[in-house]
Amino acid sequence: MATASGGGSEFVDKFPDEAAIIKASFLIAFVSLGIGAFFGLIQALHRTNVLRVIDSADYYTVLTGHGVLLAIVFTIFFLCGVFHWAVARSLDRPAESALFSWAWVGLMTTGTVLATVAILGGLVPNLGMSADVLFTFYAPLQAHPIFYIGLAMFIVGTWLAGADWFLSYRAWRQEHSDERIPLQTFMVLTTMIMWYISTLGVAVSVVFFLIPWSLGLIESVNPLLTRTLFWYFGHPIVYFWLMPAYLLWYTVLPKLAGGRLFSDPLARVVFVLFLLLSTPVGIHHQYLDPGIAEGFKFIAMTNTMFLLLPSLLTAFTVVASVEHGARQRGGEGYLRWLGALPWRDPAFTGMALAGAMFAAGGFSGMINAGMNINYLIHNTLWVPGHFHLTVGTAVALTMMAGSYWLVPQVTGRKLYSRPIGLLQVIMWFVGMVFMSNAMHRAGLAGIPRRTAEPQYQNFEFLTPIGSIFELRVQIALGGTLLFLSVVLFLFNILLTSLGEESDRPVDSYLPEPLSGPEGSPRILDNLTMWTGIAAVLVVLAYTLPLAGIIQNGGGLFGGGLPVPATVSAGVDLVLTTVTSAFNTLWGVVA
Amino acid sequence: MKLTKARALVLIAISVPVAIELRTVAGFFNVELPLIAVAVIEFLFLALLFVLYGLYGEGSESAA
Amino acid sequence: MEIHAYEKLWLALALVLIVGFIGTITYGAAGAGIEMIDDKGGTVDPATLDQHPKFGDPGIERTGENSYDVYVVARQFVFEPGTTEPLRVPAGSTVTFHVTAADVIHGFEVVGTNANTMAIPGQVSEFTVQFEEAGEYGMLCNEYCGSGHHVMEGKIVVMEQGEFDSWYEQQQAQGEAEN
Repeated sequence: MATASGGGSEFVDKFPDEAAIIKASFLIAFVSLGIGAFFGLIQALHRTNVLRVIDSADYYTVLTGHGVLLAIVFTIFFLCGVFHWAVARSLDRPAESALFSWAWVGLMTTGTVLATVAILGGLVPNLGMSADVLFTFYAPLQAHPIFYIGLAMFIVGTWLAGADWFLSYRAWRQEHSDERIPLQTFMVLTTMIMWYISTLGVAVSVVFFLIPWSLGLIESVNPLLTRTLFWYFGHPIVYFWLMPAYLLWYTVLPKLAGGRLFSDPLARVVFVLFLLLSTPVGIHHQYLDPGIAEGFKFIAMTNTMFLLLPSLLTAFTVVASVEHGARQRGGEGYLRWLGALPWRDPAFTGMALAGAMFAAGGFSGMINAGMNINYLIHNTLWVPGHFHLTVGTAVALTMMAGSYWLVPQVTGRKLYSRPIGLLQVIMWFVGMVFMSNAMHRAGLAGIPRRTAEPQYQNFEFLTPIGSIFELRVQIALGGTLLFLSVVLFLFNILLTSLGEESDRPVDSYLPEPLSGPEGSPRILDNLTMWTGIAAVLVVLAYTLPLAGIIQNGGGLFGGGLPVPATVSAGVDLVLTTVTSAFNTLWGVVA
Repeated sequence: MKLTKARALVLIAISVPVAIELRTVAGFFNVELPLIAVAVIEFLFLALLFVLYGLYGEGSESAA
Repeated sequence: MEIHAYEKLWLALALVLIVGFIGTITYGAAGAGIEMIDDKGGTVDPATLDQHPKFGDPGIERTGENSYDVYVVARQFVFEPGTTEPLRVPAGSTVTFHVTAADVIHGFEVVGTNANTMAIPGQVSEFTVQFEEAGEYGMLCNEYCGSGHHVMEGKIVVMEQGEFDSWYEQQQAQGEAEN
């Protein structure tokens, strides 16, 4: 895993084509981050009634933009950059075809542009093009067809990116038939297998139902079916966000702390657990839905609780590795070693704060996972409070902190300002403490999420402690700090990329772990077997609920309305095949 | 561990949400802590920090 | 594979925590009797809700000495009943809600309580609530349903049994007079 010689030629010199791909991915990611963060500021000020500069109807357009640009475009383009770096670096070989790499970047970008145009069209009156459907795009709310087409293109682009990395692995394997998969590549491959399994649900929903429906080719869709197919994908996507952050915590953070990864084998175990358990839990987003039997919700609940395990294991390994680093730097004592860590390094501090905040997010997630406790907070502001700690901090802050270390390597230029970087990560942490904490408390009072004006006529929200007014102020203040933090980040990265080239912009050497893969069972590397088990778990968790929804919920298309005769022959064949397959399965199982 | 300017600034930043949430903590014991009390507590903390910085911060005699 | 002793201990504690959580949730579901919303509410045809025997005229029906059925239709951007006139229930009663949506997916939340469900076109959410004391509760839609989502609210008025009875008789009489 170590580079050939510590210092010496940087990634951008060894792998110039890959560096170009990574720079392009990061550029799109950071532009989306900027727009998404700006929208977030508008929302935070609007819903708290501090400053309203748009119509409340437009709030939902802005909210859709915020969700899609941040939770899909920013996170996934950044993942593509990090994974492309990790595969080239850990296999020590360039991608099999630079043209193919640019193809998936191009496809993902085109999809992004289409979807974004559809969303922003909602702000232009009389355009007739909008996608005010939010990140979850639940039918029967309908967006313009290019929204769905753009999303489909984006997802297919990510599939191609995964293929790029699998091709590199296959070529490497031909030259290294006996070796263990290098850890970073192992993480990339397991994440992508999980992604392939999980995007199947949303791909079916978008390609077979939502696109034809928005084009007028079919008259209606079964809302519970498309919603369930979305959440089949909607939970594993959070692990698609988290696993690149974990890759950075496992393979980079120990080095930043001055030490080495505590255990390679346990990192592999964690990623295998995510591959197995990420998808068969989606129904925990639907605890309150009718039309799904309690037994299926119970299965989703137990699977979700076990999904805590890889994150708890990560907590141990990451803290152990960081402690190791601190002691290498001269730290001593039970807790005093914390002071020996490189807190002035924004890459380290950002990741450390992100990890600490993730623990809080995990706890509020455990509440969400509790089948019956969930009733108290479902669709309230508690839920965004939770996910701003997890994707909003554990993932986004780690990605920003990781950028301070990665961007110098792919541009060959030193980070413009470490102090501004440090200010940025701390400001993010403080802003999030305010905003997320207030969101959790507001949710407990029953204040809803996804609402432009949660100020109602018929009743008052009551909090046991403090007042609604101060919760609103904290959300507005926190949101403002977060926006300013993003501005500082983008400013720093921009000036870095415009700076002077440097021979050694950053210390990019990554040491070997303390416990290497040699001692661990080879079965961990048996990706085919793990994929098979993951598929079985998904079938077990989803076949019966989906069959029930189709059988009892008015068929594949809902509404009791017949499929019109204008559907083209090809689609008809597919529909008939899929319907009869489900009916057969149901007949066999029931 | 020296109380450098950077460390002092971080402490100031972290102390703000902590001070505000003291109201929540007090609420659990049925004590209504008014905002002015929070402001006073924060001011006292900043004063303490100022003194400590003077005594132990960089550029002072007892700094290592 | 070498696993550090502390790591084994941590792993064991993590598993105990997880099993403990599953245990408490199972107790809540099976023991303490907090029932989950499931598929027993059945399905309806959203296109013909107006002709449905119950949802065509949504409201409250007495089903027993202290038990009632309430049929609620959520549509853009009102609850029927609840928005134009408040939903009235008596104190000390057990009310089974049947909630569906006429157009898009809505949420149905009784503010400050755990009475919370999704209203999905074609599906009926059935859940039972006990109202103990007289008072008022807000209702709101907590699932984005369009540009007017934020005005979608209603009210539940929990009345003393006597007052409720006279109001209910009045409603029945009016209903018969109309028919």
